[in-house]
Amino acid sequence: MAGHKIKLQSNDGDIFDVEVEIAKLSITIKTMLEDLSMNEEEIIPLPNINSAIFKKVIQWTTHHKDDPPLPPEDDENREKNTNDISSWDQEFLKVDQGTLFELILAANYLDIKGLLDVTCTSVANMIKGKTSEEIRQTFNIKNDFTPQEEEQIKKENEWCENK
Amino acid sequence: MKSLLSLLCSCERTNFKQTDKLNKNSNNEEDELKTIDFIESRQQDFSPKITWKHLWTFNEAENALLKSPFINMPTEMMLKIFELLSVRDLENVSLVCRYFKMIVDHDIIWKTRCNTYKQIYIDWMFEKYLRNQELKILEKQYRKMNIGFGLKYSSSRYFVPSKNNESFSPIFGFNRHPNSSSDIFQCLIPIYSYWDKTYFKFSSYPLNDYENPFSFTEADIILDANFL
Repeated sequence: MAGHKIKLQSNDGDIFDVEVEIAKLSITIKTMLEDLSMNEEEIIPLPNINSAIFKKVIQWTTHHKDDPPLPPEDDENREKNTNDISSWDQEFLKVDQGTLFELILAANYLDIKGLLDVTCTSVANMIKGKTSEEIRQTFNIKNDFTPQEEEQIKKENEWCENK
Repeated sequence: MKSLLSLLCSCERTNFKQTDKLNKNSNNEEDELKTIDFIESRQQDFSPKITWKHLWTFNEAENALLKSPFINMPTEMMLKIFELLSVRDLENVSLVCRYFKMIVDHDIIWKTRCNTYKQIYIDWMFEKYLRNQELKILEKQYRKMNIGFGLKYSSSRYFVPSKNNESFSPIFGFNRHPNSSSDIFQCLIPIYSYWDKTYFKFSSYPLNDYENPFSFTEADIILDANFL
C-alpha cells in the first residue's frame, strides 16, 4: 500500500496529507492507526503540534523513512552516540532555539525516537564546554542562587572531578 | 573545603615533626602505621556529602527559567539532554540555576557515569583524592628522612631522585580506578597479598607456584555465561 495517505491535523487547523509509511515512524500515530483501527478517511488531530513544527517533523521523517531501526538502547551504547549528528540533520537543525525546543516536545509527543535523540544531542552540544554563565546567557536563564548556595555547590562539585 | 585543606596541611606539618623525631631514633615503624591509617581516618571525618538535594520547592526554582525555552521542557527530556554531558559540563550546569541543579543531582544521570549513584561517585573521587594526599605525605617523609626512596622495601621503581630537588607531585595519575592502582604501594608499604600454603601465612612476594585466585581464563567466562 505504498503511497497510501492519511490526514493529520495540526493544532492551528491545517490538514496535512502524509504517507502512512512516513506517519508510522511516529509510534504515537502508529498506535492510533493500528490499535484504535481508525478510519482512513478520518482526520487525526494532533493537539500538541502547530503547523510550522509539524512541517519540520514531516521533513525529517521523510528524509529518514528508510533508516534502519535504531538499536535497542542499553547503558553501554548510550554514552557513545553523543556527537554524531549527520550532516543532513545538522543542516535540518539550524533553526532558532524556540523551534529546536518545540521539535523536542513534538518528537516526544509523537514518539519519534530518532528525532528526539538528534534534537536532544543538539541541545546538549549547545551546553558542552560552556561555563554556567555562558549557559545562562545562551538559554536566557536567570541565576536564582544565593551566594551561599553557589559557594556550597562549588564545594560539592570539587568532588566530582579527578584530582 | 578550606577547613579540610587546612586540616590536611596541619596533618602534614605534624607528620614532619614526628618524622624529625623519628629520624633521630631511626625508628619509622610507627609512622608507617599512621600513614596506612590515613585513608580510613580521613574518610570517616571528611567524606563529602551531596550538600542538598531538592532543597527548593518548584516555585522557588521555576522563576529562573521563565524567559527560557527550558520552561516548557518536561523533566524527562532534560534528563535525556543532561545524560549526554560530561561530568565537567554537569558541574557547570549545576551552577546555572536551582532547577538545573536539582535535575543534575538526579540519580539517573550518575547511573550512566559509574553504574551507581552520585554519592557513591563522589565517595570514589574522594578516596582517590585521599590516596593522592597520602602519597604526597609519604613522599615528603621519605624525602625528609633522607633515605633512598623506597629502598627499604624494594628497589626504587617510581621515585627517581631529582637533580634540582624539585617536588614530584601526583606521579601516579588519577585516571584509574583506585582498585587498579595497588601497585603504587608496592615500593612503599609491604602488601601481603600472596597466600603461602607451605608456611600458612601471607607473604609479600609471589611464590613459584602461586596461582592468582582472581584470575580467570576464557573457559571460565564461557562457563559463567551459562548462568546468565
